[in-house]
Amino acid sequence: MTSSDGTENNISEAELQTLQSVEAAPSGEPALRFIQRCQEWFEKWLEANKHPLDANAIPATQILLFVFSETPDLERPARFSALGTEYKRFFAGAHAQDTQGVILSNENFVKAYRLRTSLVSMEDAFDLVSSHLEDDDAFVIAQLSQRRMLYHLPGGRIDDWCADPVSYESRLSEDPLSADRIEADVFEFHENSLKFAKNQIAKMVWVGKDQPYKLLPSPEQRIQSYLFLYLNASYKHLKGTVDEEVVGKGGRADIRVVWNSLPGAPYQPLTSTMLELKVLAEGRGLTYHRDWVTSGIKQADDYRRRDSEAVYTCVFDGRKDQTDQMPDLDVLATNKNVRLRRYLMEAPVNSAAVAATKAAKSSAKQIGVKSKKITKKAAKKPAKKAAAAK
Amino acid sequence: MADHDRLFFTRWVLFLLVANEASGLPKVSRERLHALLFMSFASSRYYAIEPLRQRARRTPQGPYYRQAHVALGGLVLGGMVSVEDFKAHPAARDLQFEGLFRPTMKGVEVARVMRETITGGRLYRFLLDMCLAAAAVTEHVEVGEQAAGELDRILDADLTYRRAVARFGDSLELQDSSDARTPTVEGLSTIQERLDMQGAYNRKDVVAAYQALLLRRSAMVA
Repeated sequence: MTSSDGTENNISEAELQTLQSVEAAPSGEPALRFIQRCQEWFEKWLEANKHPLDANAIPATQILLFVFSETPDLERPARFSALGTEYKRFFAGAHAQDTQGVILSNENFVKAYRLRTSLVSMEDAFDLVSSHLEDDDAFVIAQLSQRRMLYHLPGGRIDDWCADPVSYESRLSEDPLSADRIEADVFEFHENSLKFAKNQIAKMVWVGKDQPYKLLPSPEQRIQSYLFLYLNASYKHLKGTVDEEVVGKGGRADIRVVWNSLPGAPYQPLTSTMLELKVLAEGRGLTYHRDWVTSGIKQADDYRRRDSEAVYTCVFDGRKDQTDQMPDLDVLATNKNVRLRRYLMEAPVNSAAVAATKAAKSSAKQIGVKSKKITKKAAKKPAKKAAAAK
Repeated sequence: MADHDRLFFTRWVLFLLVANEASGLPKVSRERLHALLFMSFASSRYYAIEPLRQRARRTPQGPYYRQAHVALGGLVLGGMVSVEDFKAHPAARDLQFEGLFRPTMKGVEVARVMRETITGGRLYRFLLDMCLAAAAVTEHVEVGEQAAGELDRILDADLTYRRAVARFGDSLELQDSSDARTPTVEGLSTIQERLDMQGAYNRKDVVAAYQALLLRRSAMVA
């Protein structure tokens, strides 16, 4: 349709053809998108500097700290002045061999500034973030000579992070993709990073020993962010996106992964897999948990694309008592052709309190007293002692 | 106009300026602010957000919302928006001023608080998406002034805006009363349908594709 000034009010087929080159931008919340930008920058820097890296020409002291600021021009004087006194524009696209120092940037690197020319060591970088950044800050530390990138998302305690930082493991495999492979990756992610309280990412998801069984706010989105970055790092040709449309909608957290199908594959030209994440948190009743998983199965089913090889409901179980895994829901999932997968998470607990609780239970049994009151009191005392000792 | 409508308009203007800053776009001129408002109203239904029902007036400098001028004045006086290159603008019916506008730290902090509500959070996300899309489309331009020029061309080529200026009259209507959707929303939906066939995208990718298309159109006209 052409309007009276000669311009088209509709989009033509020729214009739609130009969309073939459109690539999805980093997705999720702004801080997560910033980390993805850093990931992209890091990969491109490695590629651009392959020869000096192979020749060991990058010094070990070439350390880079990227810090996220929503509005760097405004926030630097108010919040980040301790990170450095310079304020020179940083051109991310240059991927210069000698890139180092402290960079303060907005989420798309358009407003990026170098605050400090260099960092002396990794310890120097850790000291800076530990002394001057907060738990809600997002940042990346890269030791370029080692091809090593560490990242922190808002929420996780910086002190815990410094003790065992979350690292970006660039694998970028070019192997053929499949839903089973993605599933294996999710399994590996859980096994290595989330299953036990001592694991890196577990520390960024749980509040900590002082408040056992308590998860940080929005646990689904928290796990989603780490899992998404993990999957992104795994495959070169994986196009992953966090579904931003469902952010904040009843605890929904979805990851969509799409790849180009091989010739002869059942879905053409693309194949996809959808992951719906659900977290079972302590303090809710069994009915609630059952409804929560059920809703996850239905959402995964609704989310299926025409080219979906499989859709998953991934249940991350953070309950104190994980004995009832609601096996009957497997029938519902199977009927809907949804793959229901369970991932148990061990909560951080104060071992002194646990030992005292066990002792109190055992003593209560011996003397025939109701254990409930005694265990509560017994559990509190050592916890207080532990807190006082800190 | 009811007080709460004025407040909604003020929130919309503040969020837009903060989103513009967070996306790294150049400082906003008066002219661009009104054009950005027009495009945001024309596309908000794509995000299931009700646009503010304000008519823009046709001026030589593009669309003009009287209420935006009032909101901007309030934000400047309240210390939430700073203004550079201020000069009074001769206008027969209103006291207007020209300048380059940018949020202050106080404005950013107030916007953060207002984003905590569900409606505030959704509205800011939408405006941020729109500005990030513009930043992505103009990122090949290193010089701020040229990027601003491209952004102005995108806004000028918006489908709803082109339809509105093609009609004779003193006011620039977003849509006919019978229209369910603006041409902008129609255009975005058409692009989304096509993109859905070739992968998984978010709405800001659709908005960026739409703006890239407008920029190409404007280049062809020029």
